[in-house]
Amino acid sequence: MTLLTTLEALAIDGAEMPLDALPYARHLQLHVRRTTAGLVLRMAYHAALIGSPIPPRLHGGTLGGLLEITSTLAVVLARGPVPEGASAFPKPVNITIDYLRAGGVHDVLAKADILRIGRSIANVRAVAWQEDESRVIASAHMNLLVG
Amino acid sequence: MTEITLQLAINHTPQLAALGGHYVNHGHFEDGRAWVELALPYGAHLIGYPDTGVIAGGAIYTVMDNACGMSVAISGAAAFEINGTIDLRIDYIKPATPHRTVMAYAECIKLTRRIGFVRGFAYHLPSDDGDGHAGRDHPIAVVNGTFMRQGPRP
Repeated sequence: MTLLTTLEALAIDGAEMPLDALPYARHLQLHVRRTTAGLVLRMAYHAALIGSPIPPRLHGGTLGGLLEITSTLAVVLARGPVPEGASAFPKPVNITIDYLRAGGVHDVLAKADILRIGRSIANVRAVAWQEDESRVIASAHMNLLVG
Repeated sequence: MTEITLQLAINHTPQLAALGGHYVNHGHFEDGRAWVELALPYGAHLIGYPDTGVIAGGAIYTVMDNACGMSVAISGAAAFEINGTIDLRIDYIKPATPHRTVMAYAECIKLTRRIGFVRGFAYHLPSDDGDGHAGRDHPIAVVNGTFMRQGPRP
């Protein structure tokens, strides 16, 4: 099963699935579920995500990694099948993360909005939050090469 | 801050240690601005592209963020300042080569009263058998970021 077919097979508003197919996503303990509004990723809190121990704060890099994978998977699902021999993954060009609030010792959720997929570039915005979706802790914009 | 103390502070960062990243070196320019270099050895848990074994951008991003923050932390008059990332941009110039260590170099380019401006890049060390596409002139990624100064460490 390819990544695309795995994502497509997720039932809308069904159970979440661990992203174990991607070793780095497994390292972050990412899970994905599909909603009517698109994919929602969850990074399960565990002590290895901490960047600054006193007081305990999530490492900003883990939020970057989460938002990058959230953006990438949204593009994988939105662009659909790729020609045989082409990479299953769009190529990351760049990503900028804004940090709005410190990440506490809780799970983090993330979702992405695709502004546009052109012939070459996908332009994506993504946000991450913890207990309250209206309190965004980190926001990203990412460009990916799709063709 | 002594080399040993900075090394301990970096190497005891839980997420950096979990990735396998570690301190390599640091120094100061004549005007007090600092640079920091970390390393991220290759590991199977870092893979973001299972079809090629290339590591995830997020792993490089994390080590760069860490190096950038540390360069600001030791650029002020105090031995070590707390700071928080305001924003960080990374351009992925080329994929990291599987099985090779990623070096993460960052320097504070300007420290104002409140903000530290940083730039950095990730690269591979040239291998012993000669490698025309490694070294600092052939970055894997470049970053630019800003950090909020939050005072000396209590």
